[in-house]
Amino acid sequence: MHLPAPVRQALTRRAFLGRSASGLGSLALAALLDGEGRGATGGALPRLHFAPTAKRVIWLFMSGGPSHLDLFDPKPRLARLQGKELPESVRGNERFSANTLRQGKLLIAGSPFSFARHGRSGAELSELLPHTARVADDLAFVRGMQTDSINHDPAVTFLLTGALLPGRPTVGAWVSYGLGSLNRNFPEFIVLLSGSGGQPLRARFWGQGFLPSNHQGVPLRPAGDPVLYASNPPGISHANRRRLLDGLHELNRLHHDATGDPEVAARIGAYEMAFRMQASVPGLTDLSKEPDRVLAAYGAEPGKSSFANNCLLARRLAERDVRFVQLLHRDWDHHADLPGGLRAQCRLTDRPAAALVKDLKARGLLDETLVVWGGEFGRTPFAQGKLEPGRFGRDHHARAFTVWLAGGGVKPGLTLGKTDEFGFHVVEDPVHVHDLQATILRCLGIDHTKLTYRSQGRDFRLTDVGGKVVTKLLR
Amino acid sequence: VRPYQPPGLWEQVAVGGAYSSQTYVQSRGPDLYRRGVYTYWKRSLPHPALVAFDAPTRELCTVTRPRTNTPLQALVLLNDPTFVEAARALAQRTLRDGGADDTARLTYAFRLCTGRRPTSAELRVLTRVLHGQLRHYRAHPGAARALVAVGEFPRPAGVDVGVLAAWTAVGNLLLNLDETITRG
Repeated sequence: MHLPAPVRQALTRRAFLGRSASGLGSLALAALLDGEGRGATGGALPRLHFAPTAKRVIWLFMSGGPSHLDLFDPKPRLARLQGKELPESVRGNERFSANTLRQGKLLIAGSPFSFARHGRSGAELSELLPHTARVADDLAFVRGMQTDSINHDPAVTFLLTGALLPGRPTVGAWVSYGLGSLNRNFPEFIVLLSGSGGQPLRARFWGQGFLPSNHQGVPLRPAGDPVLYASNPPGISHANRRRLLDGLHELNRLHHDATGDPEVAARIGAYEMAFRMQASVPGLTDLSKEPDRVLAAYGAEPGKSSFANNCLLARRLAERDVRFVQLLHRDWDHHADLPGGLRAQCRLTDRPAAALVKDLKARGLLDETLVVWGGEFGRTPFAQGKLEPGRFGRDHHARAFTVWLAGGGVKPGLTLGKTDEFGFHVVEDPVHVHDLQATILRCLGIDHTKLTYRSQGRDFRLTDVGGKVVTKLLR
Repeated sequence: VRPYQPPGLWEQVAVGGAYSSQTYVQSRGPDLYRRGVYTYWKRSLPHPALVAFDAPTRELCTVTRPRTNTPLQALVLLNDPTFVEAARALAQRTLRDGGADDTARLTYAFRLCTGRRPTSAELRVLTRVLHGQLRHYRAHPGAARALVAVGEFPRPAGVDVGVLAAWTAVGNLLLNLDETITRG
């Protein structure tokens, strides 16, 4: 019996029982095999909710909680009150970590670093960020950030997934799910890791939660295969892989013709993209062909694993239209020797982050690329442990911290929000983590209340039941 | 058990020092061939092949595992030594038990993977691929030796390396058929 294709399709067990989660299943076989050209593959949103101001996002996540008080939010009064106890009126009923509770006295610690105003915008920045200072007019500093947890794992999980408990998709996965890919040679959500020591990283910080696995972040590795298993096994050359794939496709096509199952067409498409990735990924991660002046601007060294290399890679990924690039840099958790720790981390990150902004701008990419810099929380105005000048530490602080954004429709040269004289509470323009997430989605043209996925019987979204777009941040 | 895993993965997220599971020590012998359910579960970084195939993170109850079809899965099934070695084991079994001629052997291997006999059109494609691979690996003995050297599963003595490599390549193809991966 010969049935029309749609009927045959409906009769396959998979089409009948399953839902196609790949997003590719509905595309015709021919469309998947139309060669190597660039082209977007669609996301779950049939159309954007707003005109987007950003096509892509580069998120420089600083794991551990960089001190806002020593980098972005100067508090001269802390130095005047050095060694005094934090007033009860400021402290209020705030929850502190077990470390802080154990130490009893909360002795105020001024920043040992000097601040100055920079650029036409007059942004105030610490002496630890000389390179960031030079691009200050391109950045928007959000001094009123607030989060819901004072411990690393839940706070990172909250910043990246909108929930304190693990299991939800990360921002990059949501964006990949909603918008799909801008290109056909790379995954749409790529992850770059750097730093050692400090808090451990977890695969769920770039995970897809309950979304299908094609939305998970793909880490590019500094050594070996940049993408896991991208190299053919020993003894299978590129040319022979091509021949074997041709044979594989021929057999899959016969199967497709016999069953009409659209998933078979999707399979052929996935294998072709895998083959393209095998060819395109090694060239992408090879920094040795970058001009010396570019390498020097970032402080990048080909073949090394560093935040600087990752910032340069992020620019290359933006050029190749990768939708979401998530950098994770470790070791900002300065419970002890905060001055030494901050000096070390700023040496590793200040120049490359600023170089990335400058480079994107010079190439005309900054307008359409949203760059986000920040950690999961800030740090306390009082010292943790002994208040030894030059060697003291600060504990986690959730009630106020600073992030900066650049490009992608964000107002440049802006400092938004204000904290009290202790940098403890936000007193003007608070921006909750859900607000930041809503704003990032807004730049991409997405209404954060309308990007949802049904799991366990309810529709979930990145911003849970919160989030307001911070319109003051937008152009 | 701890199957093959690319080096350095755990170290990149580890805190190091005295904590457990900071470095990956691969299993040997039969423990390389257990079902995935026995694979060691490191919560901060599960085995990448499991992650590529939607292994639930075990952080929330998962009633239905999503059904996906991604390029990263293709790379795992094509290139992960676990599956390259499985292709060689399939080749060795086919050469040993699959019959005397190519048609019988291709039919045998195809049936092992899909549970049915190949159609005549499929058999034509497979025969053409096999002959191409035999020519290729006879002409490239170094590549043949490299391919059959993947994995710790014992290699039979006295087998023509070019022939084994060609059948390993065909095995790799068969294990990547849509019909092999997903029972429809």
